[in-house]
Amino acid sequence: MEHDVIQLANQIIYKEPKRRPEADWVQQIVDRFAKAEGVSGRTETDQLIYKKMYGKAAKKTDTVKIRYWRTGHHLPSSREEAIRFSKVLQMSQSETIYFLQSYMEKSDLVFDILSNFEESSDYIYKQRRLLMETMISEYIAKIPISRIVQIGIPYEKLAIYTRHLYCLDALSATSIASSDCQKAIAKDHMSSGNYESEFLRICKLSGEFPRRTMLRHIFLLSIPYLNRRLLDERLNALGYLPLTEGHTNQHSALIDDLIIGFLDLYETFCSGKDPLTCRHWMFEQLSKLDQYLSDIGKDEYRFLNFRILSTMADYR
Amino acid sequence: MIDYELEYLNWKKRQIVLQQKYQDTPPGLTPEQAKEEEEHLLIEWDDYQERKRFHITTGVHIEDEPFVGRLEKLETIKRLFASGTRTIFLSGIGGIGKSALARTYGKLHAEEYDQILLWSYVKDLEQIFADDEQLGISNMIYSQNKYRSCRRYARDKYDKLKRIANIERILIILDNYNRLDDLWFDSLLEIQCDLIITTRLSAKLLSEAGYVAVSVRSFSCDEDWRNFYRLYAQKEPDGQELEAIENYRKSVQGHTLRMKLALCNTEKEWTKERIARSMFSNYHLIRDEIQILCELSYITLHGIPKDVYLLCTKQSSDSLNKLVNYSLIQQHTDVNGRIFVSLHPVIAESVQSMWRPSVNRCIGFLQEFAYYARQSWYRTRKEDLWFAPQVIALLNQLPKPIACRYYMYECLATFLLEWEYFSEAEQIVLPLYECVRSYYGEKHQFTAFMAMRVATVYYDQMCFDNGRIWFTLSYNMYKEAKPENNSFYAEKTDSCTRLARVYEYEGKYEDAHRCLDEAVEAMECFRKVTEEADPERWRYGRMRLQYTYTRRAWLYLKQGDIETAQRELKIGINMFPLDEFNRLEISRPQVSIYLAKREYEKALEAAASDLEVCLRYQGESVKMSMGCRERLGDALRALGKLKAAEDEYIRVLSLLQERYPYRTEWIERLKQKLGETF
Repeated sequence: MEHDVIQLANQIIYKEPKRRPEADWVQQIVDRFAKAEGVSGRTETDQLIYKKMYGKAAKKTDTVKIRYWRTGHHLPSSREEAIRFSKVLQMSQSETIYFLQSYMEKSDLVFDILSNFEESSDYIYKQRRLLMETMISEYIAKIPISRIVQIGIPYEKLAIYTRHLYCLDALSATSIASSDCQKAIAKDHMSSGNYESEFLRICKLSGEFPRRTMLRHIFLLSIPYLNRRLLDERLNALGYLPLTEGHTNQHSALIDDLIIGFLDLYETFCSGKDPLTCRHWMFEQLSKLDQYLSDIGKDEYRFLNFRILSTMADYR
Repeated sequence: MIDYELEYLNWKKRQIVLQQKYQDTPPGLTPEQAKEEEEHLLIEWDDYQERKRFHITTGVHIEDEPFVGRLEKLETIKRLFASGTRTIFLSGIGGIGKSALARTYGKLHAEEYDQILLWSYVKDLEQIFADDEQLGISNMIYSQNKYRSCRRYARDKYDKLKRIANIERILIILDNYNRLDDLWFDSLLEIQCDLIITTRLSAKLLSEAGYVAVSVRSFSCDEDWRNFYRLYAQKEPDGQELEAIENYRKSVQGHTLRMKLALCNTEKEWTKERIARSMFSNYHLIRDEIQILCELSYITLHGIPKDVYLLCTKQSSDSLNKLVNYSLIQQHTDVNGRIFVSLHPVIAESVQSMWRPSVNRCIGFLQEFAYYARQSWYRTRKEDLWFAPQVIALLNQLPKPIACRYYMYECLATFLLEWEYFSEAEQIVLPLYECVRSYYGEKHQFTAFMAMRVATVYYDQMCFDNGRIWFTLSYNMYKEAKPENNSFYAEKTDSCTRLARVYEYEGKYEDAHRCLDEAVEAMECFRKVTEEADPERWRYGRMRLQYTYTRRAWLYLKQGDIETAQRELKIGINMFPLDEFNRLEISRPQVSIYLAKREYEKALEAAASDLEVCLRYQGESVKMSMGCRERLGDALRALGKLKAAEDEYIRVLSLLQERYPYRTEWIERLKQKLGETF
């Protein structure tokens, strides 16, 4: 079983493209723009794009970022910049969504609302918040008895410890902390002020979150009732690109392929088993996968790892 | 405190909902499968609720017994209860028929009550509340670890009874309560139930104290007496016989019990010469029959099982049955169909004043009774439920311990120890040790034995430091002492083995091995002196030798030498034939050895078998069964059967919380196991 996840990882890493296909698509859009504008040459095209974006002529190095955006070396630094870029390139609505979701790995919409979502007049926001609330409440409902025993908090009081439990699960799914360290952290109920607000913002969909963050969030909240269909459905509902074969992230990593393959293995080994066994398999294999990826220096594939976990482990 | 079992059941319920919602995911369930899971969960839920429910288990079905007259009194009791009176005293002299009247009322009105409790007042009400034979409540059992004292246990049972009484209609018949100052009496009156109390206190005194009392006297009407004669004399007496009976009646002032005994006397010699003031003068009691009466006078009103009495006494069942036929001995059947024999308090008092049965006179029976108590480990708790209050009552009656009779007291103390009456056991063994030590000196087998007993009392209630001190003392005493009897070497083995166990837990493995070597040596000596000379003693004692191998197996296991552990254990198991339960005792390390060897299937099979045997002999709530269940969890976990393992661990955790809440190390260990795996 261990060899299966490692074999999967190796297969995925092996077929990693040298260049993002999403970047190729952007290049095609830029070429289309250039043709429409009657401009030839990459430099001139970049200069024109810059001028149209910022309303002034580009100085010498100003167009470097435009070039990097075309080639996929860098991404626009903000959503606003990305949208401005897409407008200049005269992308259609569907192309803009593809650009944001696939190339930029962002959601289609951003909200800035923190208040009681039921009172919001924004229907889409309400629907997405409802989904998030459902995932959170089901997550609490799934917290196994062993975890309750470990932290000594009864079910009806678990909700206030959601972030702590979420981080414990993330630690279990990665190789960052040893099991002794995890046990110690479990009892600490430690909270980081920074991540507290970050976690709250994700749950309330307030602000912008990279696809990687949301993918991790949905994945962890859904274990063990998880398959590709559900993950896609939830990504889609929250305005993100669903799992797509061949999709690459900014570093050309085929994370989607890895997750798809992992879910296939999950299906193979755990179909018909009880939730506890499924959960155990899931965490055991995820942490082994994470350990392997860390050992071979492929951190970009460690999709459940996030910065605060190291802080928690180091603190301990 | 979190009720983990309840949490677990609720968690399972939530999962079924989610499994159905996400039925296309690996742990998903189809609607049919979800329904099946719900049905299983319902059974688990019912089982859980049943274990949390408290209901009376010692409610009696009053047997038919001969009863004549007193219709007016029955009506009075009925009328009083109907008018709202909750407590009625039946007042009269001993043997006049108060208890029979109360029982007859209970029998006639049984349909009106959900439960009828028959209590015999001996020492105090606290004892009754603590006594599981007189007041049994489901899911309640005394545990020193939980309650710390019998008083707290009594208080908890009282609280439960009070709650039950708010829901169920209960009649309590409290027999032979001859005081008003019992500390628990006011609490008893607070229970919402009908209470009939038989007493020798006068009705006047009771009325002055504000209680409702019904006087019970001799029959006032001739017809009642004629019915009485017919009932006990088997036929209607007439002529001279009737005249003799009537004269006797006058001489005993119509005392019901005396009349009954006289009518039951088959010899029926009513001549004036035969009639004496003494109750027993109507009988030609032989020595054995008197001896039986003397022996039973040490037993409380609640009685002793007939089979146990005959086991402990040298008397014949014919003599016993004869006394039953004479109505000198009462016989009743408990809820499990077991026959008990006892003396009516009036008869017991008469026996005491007539023959003054001393400890010396009854020593044979008392020693056998004590020895029987000591063997409680080989019997189920259910079988011995009647025993505990008898042992405590007996110890209260016995004089201060004397050195030459130490063994008898020690047996009774051991029984109390097995039943976790640690403070009561401590109160016996400490003075007993001093008594023996003063008499025999320090370098004596009996003193060494008593030191070991003191050690056990401390160790079993987790006073490990004191336990170690006394085990070491005992061990050193055995080294200096000479054998006084054939038990010497067996006792020395025990001393060495117990000290080895102490060393084992302290991590002093070399010392532990040394002690076990000495234990084996001692057993060889025991074999030499008993195998031919006293084969029965050898047969009962040889298990100690096997047990040394068990302890060695544990030691090697802890030291990581699995192969040697297995080898030692096999030697011990196969050495001599063992019955099922003792085999379990000897082979306890086997599951752990299989787990260490990664032979998980074998571990599972052994663990499941151990648990099944343990549950059958000991029940669920004892430490041994919990240990077996935990090891079963370990085996299941090792095999990846996580859900099943979790079920077992949660069950043990729940039982520990309930019965042994102060076993914090064990509880933490279980929590760790749960946390580690998942």
